[in-house]
Amino acid sequence: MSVNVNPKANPNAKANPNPKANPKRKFLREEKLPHFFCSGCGCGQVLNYFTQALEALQMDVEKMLTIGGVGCTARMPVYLKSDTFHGVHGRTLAWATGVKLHNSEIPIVIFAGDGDLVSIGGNHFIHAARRNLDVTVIMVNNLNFAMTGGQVAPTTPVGSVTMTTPYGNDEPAFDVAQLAMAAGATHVERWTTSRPVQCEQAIRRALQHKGFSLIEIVSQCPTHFGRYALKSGDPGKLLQWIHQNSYLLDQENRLTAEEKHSKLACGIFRFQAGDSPHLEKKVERAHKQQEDATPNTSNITPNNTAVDQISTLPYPQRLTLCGMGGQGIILASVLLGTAAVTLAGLHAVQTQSYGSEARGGQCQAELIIDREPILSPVAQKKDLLLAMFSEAYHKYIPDLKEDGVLVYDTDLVQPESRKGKSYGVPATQMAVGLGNRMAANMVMLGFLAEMFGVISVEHLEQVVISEVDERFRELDLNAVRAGVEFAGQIKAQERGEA
Amino acid sequence: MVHIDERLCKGCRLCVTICPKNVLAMSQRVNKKGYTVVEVAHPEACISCKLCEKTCPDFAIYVE
Amino acid sequence: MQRPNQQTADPRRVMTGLHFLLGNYALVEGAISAGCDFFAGYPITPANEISERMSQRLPQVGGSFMQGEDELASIYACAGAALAGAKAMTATASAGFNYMQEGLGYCYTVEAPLVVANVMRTRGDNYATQSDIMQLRHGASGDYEAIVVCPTSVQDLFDYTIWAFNLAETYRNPVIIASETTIALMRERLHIPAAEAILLHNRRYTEKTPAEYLPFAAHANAAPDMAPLGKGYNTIYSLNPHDEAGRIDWDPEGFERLYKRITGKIRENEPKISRTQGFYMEDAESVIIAYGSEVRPAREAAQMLREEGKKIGVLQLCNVWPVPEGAIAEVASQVGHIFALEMNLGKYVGEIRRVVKDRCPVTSVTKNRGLVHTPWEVCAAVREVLK
Repeated sequence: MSVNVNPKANPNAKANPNPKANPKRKFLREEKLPHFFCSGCGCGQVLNYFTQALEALQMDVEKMLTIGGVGCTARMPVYLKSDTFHGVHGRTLAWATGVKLHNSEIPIVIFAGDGDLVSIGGNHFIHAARRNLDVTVIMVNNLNFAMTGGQVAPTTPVGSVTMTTPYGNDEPAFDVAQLAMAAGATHVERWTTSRPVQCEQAIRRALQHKGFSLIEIVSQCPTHFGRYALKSGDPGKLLQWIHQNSYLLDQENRLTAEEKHSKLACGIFRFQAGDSPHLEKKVERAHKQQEDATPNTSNITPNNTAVDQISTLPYPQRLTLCGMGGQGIILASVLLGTAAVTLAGLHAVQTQSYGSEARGGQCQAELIIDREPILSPVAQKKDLLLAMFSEAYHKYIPDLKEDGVLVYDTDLVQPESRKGKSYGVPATQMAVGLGNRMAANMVMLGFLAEMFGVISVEHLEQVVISEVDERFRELDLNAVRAGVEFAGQIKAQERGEA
Repeated sequence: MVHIDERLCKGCRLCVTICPKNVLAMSQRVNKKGYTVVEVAHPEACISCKLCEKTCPDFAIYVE
Repeated sequence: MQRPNQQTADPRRVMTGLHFLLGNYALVEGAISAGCDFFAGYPITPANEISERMSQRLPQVGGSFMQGEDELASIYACAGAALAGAKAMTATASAGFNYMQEGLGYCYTVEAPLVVANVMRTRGDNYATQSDIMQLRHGASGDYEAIVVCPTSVQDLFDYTIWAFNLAETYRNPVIIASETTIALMRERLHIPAAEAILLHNRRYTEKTPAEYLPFAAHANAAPDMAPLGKGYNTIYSLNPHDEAGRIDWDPEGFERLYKRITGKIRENEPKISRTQGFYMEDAESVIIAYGSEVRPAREAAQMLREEGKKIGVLQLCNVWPVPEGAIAEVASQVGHIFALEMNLGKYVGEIRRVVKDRCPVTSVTKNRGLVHTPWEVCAAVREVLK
């Protein structure tokens, strides 16, 4: 960049009373000009480069969504004649992700400063790049937080004096272009405000690119960074500094290490065209599935004839099922509740608790079944306790009514003698005999259904068929029947004794 | 021909800096916003490279 | 694609029938029935089941699901989608709700319709609580009015979610579903009606041309009509205070008008928004006022106390924000005592006292140990005062 150091004034020059307007102003909200950017601010230049790109591509800015967060750069889209989101620091890409997923037709351009994009916005930045979100991100990197007065930013060069690094910045700076690439961006370029032609071309490429485009433009901040860090408020001098502290990527090999030291490389870092952005795939899939969707007819007519006749327990029935994690206690309680509500037309409430271990910790579910709507989901005293593990039995036996019913697995629980009836069921043994100890819960359910009519056997089998995974259905139905048979034997014995 | 909209100019001198042919220079005039504005000092030297129009942060220049 | 202002639910989305379903799933079915077509959320217990079911259901009905990289990504993605026309929802729990405040503030100010499901729970081990009830109203900075609905059961989680979407669309305001870990993780009977029986309200789009359209102008304390993105309406949706045209240059009169209307559209429509339900109220001489999962022990306690001859009723607040001022004031003029029941250190009682003024005494009945009140505890508290 040649710098005109000797402009020659002309005392006879006159002002033009009717200057023709720069036609790029048609892309702007003209009533808002002059814009609020400082004299010589790079933001104004980048806005100009952007309109040049729009003109070159004949793009309609009114069809776009432009987004700015908070800061000087964030104000740029407010001057564009488009729909704009603005005013929240660091969240431009989060907004964009939602819009893009809902309506991928709208072209989106984000104007973000270095602070907004990679300080507060860092997380959304790397994820948007990872997702290869189809947006154009123009990062005006003025190497500080300008709007708030010139504080240090993650892009501030080491050693720089800023409002919050009065002794010089000792933190290293991001190379945002490298960061974008590492995160997965498919189009990454860096240029400087001192290279107008390259900037415009880069923006043009970005607007046409399908995927995540990051165009970083290193820019002068004459009011803050310039004055504090570079000791100059002269835009021309700062432009020179930027130009001299950057080099062209494609000239890299001709420069010595010293010439490149602490300078920013400019060029096209990556430009992979044609990659299908992931989020658009989701949209495609969603639309396809909508076309395939059929009306939802999950019409289950309750049949509440069976239960009333055979249930020997009064309503409400308050049960606790407990055991070890992995025994299928929760599933058992859900099957009971599902049958009670959807097949027998009753009311039911189920709650559960478990230790944080996925397996081997304790596990418990409470179930209340009633003819009427149930208010308290948790009963103080229970009518029936199903215990499939010793520790669980000890924990929950105090909640069982004195004359309540205890059902326990004979191999895993040694109950104490008590007033109410206790039924030992060798459920685990029976399940092992059928081929899988995991079916012990189904043996127990069969027993409960046949013995007490908590739900009818018919409804139990129906619900096992509709709710249990195909792979285990046969095993579980056999286990249910084994439990039913066992209950039949117990009932016969009781009648025999009576 | 170089058109300068003095209402929008903020006197940043980037156009003066970047012009390869010494066409532009600062004037003595101050606009309503208080900025000393630029003027076309040597129009005959202009080669229509448009660098001033492209560089201006304020959309104040049009090279016809 | 603009929806009609009023419609019935799409039968392809509605799982009509009788179910035994987890609370969090019921909330999802409510959203799907209501036409929700965008969800973004971040994993958090005990709201995870909402995200999981949404990830399955939304693609089935042509909607979009994403897991945000954090709660901020989630709420802002929802905000963007909502402004782009989606019926958007996010779900979180108390800790995650903290992160969403700025995002909510943005939605309040640009009047984006949005539904937020917040499953209140204690830190650490996710026990029951209603501690956040004031935060739901006052969490974000700035001027706005919150709409917060309080389901008490799995059925409510379905019904109130539809209500929430309708309110969000009508008022162009975020609506928060104050779910709780108790009902979210409970399974209960759920009846989902036929699609024709589910009535939906959708936001109105402007019929004006871009030249005539003022994005934030509305008729007397109502929500403004929306415009689609990318069609030349060139609207600035900024968190900064703005005037009717969306201009963000400093203008004190414009800002005053803006926030007056944004708060007014809820305040002045409170009687239309608020719903309460009364139990045993006909001849009640004292009343328990409760919301959320505390309504259930309140009702059971009232049953028990009635059996003892005490003329006590229960007023359920179906929404706590805006405060159902009319309903509470009316009850206060008719009874001799009010019991404000809640699962925290006594927070919403302040609003009740403000409304009741000196009409009758208000006793705060609280419990703050990770468990809902038992009916016996409520009875004891009532008897203590009414002896």
